[in-house]
Amino acid sequence: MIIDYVLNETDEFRECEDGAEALSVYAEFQPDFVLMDWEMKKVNGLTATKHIIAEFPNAKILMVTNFDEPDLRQAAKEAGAIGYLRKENILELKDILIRVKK
Amino acid sequence: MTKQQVALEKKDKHDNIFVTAEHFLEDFAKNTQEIAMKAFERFEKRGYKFGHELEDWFKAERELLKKVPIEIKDIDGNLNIRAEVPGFTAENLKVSVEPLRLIIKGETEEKSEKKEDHTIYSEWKSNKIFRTIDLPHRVEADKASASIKDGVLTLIIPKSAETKPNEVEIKPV
Repeated sequence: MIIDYVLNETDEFRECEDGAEALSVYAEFQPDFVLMDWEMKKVNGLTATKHIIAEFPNAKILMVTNFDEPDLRQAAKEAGAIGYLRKENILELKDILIRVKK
Repeated sequence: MTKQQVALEKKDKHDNIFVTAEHFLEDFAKNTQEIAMKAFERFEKRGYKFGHELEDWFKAERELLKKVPIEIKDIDGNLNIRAEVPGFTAENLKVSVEPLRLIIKGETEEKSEKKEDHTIYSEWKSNKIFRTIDLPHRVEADKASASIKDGVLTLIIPKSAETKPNEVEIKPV
């Protein structure tokens, strides 16, 4: 399952209820990578990504969605996300993280 | 014999809980489908509003499967793995050990009957766990032993003499 897969890729895992929490948790926890939903309460995923990247330019944020739209891919890229991951392809997470670490 | 193995002998050993990983193929597909359906229900309730895919999946998964906190220790050439499985016994737990992966599955059904007016109805509450864990070392899967005590499943699995790191092929970008 997805949670197991994420847990297997990391020692510690934090879930955030909304975009504002994602910003504060990022600052405190500074994780190796972030899986970001597109829409969240308070601050949406794209805006949260922009804010995190502004403060932590090396942050590795992957936007996750079920929709493969060129406009969304472009928006994620412009916000500073390192990738755009379709939920069904989450098993590629390990490969993506290896590429990112290189 | 190590101290851990001696301790294990004193507990009830339950080596009959081991099955092969193939045993779980159907569970994996079934759980994935059930989670996907629950996630879709959330998407539907929200009026098919895009953007919450990860949240929906995580919440659906948490609804269907109980958390299984685990701890892995490397002691005297063995991986000593403790998994919290309260409410589960050797009868409703199954474990598969492969050289680099461990799967723990459990399912119980709690039946309670309630009287409402003159009707008796049953509520069945599913209580499922399904946890896949990538092991930090290659192990000798066929030498694993298991015990359950106070809601904690303890697995002791000897590491392979030839311990290889988890090899991952790096694909070019």
